[in-house]
Amino acid sequence: MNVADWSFDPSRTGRRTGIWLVLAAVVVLMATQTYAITNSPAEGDMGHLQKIMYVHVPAAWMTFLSFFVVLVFSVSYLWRRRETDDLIAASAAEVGAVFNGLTLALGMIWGRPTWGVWWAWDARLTSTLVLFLIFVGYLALRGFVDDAGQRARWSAAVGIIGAINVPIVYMSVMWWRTLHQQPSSPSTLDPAYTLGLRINAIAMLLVLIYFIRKRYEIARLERAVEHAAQSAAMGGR
Amino acid sequence: MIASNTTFVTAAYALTWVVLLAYVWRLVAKDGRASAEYARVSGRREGSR
Repeated sequence: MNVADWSFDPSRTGRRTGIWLVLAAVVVLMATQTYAITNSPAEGDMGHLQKIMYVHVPAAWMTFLSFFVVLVFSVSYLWRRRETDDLIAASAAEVGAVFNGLTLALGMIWGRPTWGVWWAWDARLTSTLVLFLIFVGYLALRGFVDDAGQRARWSAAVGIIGAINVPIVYMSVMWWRTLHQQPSSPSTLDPAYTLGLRINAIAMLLVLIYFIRKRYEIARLERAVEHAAQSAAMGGR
Repeated sequence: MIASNTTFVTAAYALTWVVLLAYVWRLVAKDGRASAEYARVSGRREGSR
């Protein structure tokens, strides 16, 4: 993209509407967590530890969804070379890394009383950690490369490789004998727990949408500043 | 001593809120810095015309 082609007006991006989205997400998340905690019965084996599922599983789903967004927009960038695709992919990668880290930490908190250990090198945990490290590397890469075009191309390549790891993480508990249980979904759960899981996933989805949208707006601002600096360095041409 | 189940459940929910709110805080701070920088740069460009 030519520097002169980059036009950006912060007042036209609906930036102030983001506050309503984050407030809605916070209120809905508080409501759905309260419902799930107070309405689901103690599980036969785990007792009330089962309630960690309402934060751990949605966080894992949001991780997968974020990295799917990275995959789609990274492929789109390599195909169409649109700078906005690179910025959306980068925004989703950062948000995905946050949810990925949260998923790992929540899994450790759940694992300690259930399995007796904070961590085990089993297939699901290890592949999830590898996924996290790939996207931490992705974000580090973006910080190291100054040239915007090169940064976008390399990021897209790493993003696609990282996202390919997602189905491996998902299938790991079926491909290998692991400590981690089979995937939880509304179809595999007792009906007493499905509504709580569904509504908490929807609430977490609202949070995810706000995060990616906000991060993308900031990325556009940062990019506009970068373009302006390049333009100034070229004598305002 | 092993903490009770309630402690682990409370820790999980507390951690979730700490992480999510910390990231909101980071986004708001980053937005403020980026907006200020954009205003500075666009003001400089306007002034140079």
